[in-house]
Amino acid sequence: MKHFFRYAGLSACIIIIASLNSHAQQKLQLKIGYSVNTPIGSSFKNFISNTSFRGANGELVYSVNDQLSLGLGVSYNDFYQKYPRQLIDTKYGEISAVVSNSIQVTPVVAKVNYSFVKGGSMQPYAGLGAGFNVINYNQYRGEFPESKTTLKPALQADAGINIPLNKVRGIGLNIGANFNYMPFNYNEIKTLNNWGIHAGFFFPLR
Amino acid sequence: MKSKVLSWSVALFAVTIVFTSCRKDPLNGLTAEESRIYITEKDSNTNFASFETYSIVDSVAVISDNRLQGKALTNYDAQVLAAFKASMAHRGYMLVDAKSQPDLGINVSRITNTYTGVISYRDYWGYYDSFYDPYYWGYPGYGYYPPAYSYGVYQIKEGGLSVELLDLKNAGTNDNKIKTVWTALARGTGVFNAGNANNVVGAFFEQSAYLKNNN
Repeated sequence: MKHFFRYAGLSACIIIIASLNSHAQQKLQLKIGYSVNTPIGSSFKNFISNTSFRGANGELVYSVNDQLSLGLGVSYNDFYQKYPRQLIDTKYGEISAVVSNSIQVTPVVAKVNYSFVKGGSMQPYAGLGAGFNVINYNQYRGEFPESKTTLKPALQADAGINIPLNKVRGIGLNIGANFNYMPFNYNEIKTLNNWGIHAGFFFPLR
Repeated sequence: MKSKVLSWSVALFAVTIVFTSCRKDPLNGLTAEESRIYITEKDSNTNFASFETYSIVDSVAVISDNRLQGKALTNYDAQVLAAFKASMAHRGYMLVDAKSQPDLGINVSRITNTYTGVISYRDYWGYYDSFYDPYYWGYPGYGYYPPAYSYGVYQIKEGGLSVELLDLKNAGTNDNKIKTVWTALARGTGVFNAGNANNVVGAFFEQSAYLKNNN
């Protein structure tokens, strides 16, 4: 977790510094932030019910006009849960094991965002995205993993508020909530749907 | 503009890679005890209450990469054999000499593999006659029935303790083959540690409540 904040903070600082010389009214922006997501749906929650505090999101945003923008979004969440030792029935007997479930999701989506106001100190927006999801699945029985990495479709909806801090430089804060629709259908898991909140910065790109 | 979008897309991808390295490693949260798994399987047609006596090998077979390296009786091996004797007695089975026609025989093996990959437990059964000569159990010229069930396939990183329970009582009616009616396998960190022998064997019996003589 310490590494996460270190890397996230470092990345944010580099981008802020790099963007200081940009001009206002930049059409290209980068959003980057930290996210907390929690599983939705019984099949996912039966596998992992813990909220993920290891998440991040980023989006390359191109402004079409004052209210409409297109984006390429990437987000990441690491879901993990360890269960006490249990007996698992097999066809011919039993396996006694401590079970640790671990799933990482990395959806990459093309997005359309709409800002409800032009300018202003608070700019509420909503966005929809569609793309693919890189899923890394691991179920450990003791120290022995069963692993699967796969690509599946993903849909994303998010809404939030952009708060410009420096309108001349085009830098600001972004907070919001997101919902991720992620079909999976492997073993007992049907979907990896989750929702969460995110907070971060946006910067113009030169 | 295109090159700008491309370069920042690459930057976004690089940032993503940094983020995705932030994964909680499930193995870091495991103690040695938690890392171990215990697998027991049985022949569903066997009535374990029908056996009264048993005998157990006096040493442990050391098998590496499906080759018998020899029989050994280290402190660990002795602890395992003693733990089995205690558990079998607790379950109502009487220990007798191998020459006294026991109903059950117990073979114990330490299996180690030095390669990383996938091992099929079936390979082990292909050499079983050479590990345990049926002559030892008083059945010269006999072979073994490999169990109809299987452990499946697991990735081997270190090795495991394997135990087989043999039906000697009905060997004469099984077409000159000794049937394996119960198997147990322990794998994970510290499984070959003498201090863990009682816990490992105890786990086998705890999850095999059917393994008992009611008389």
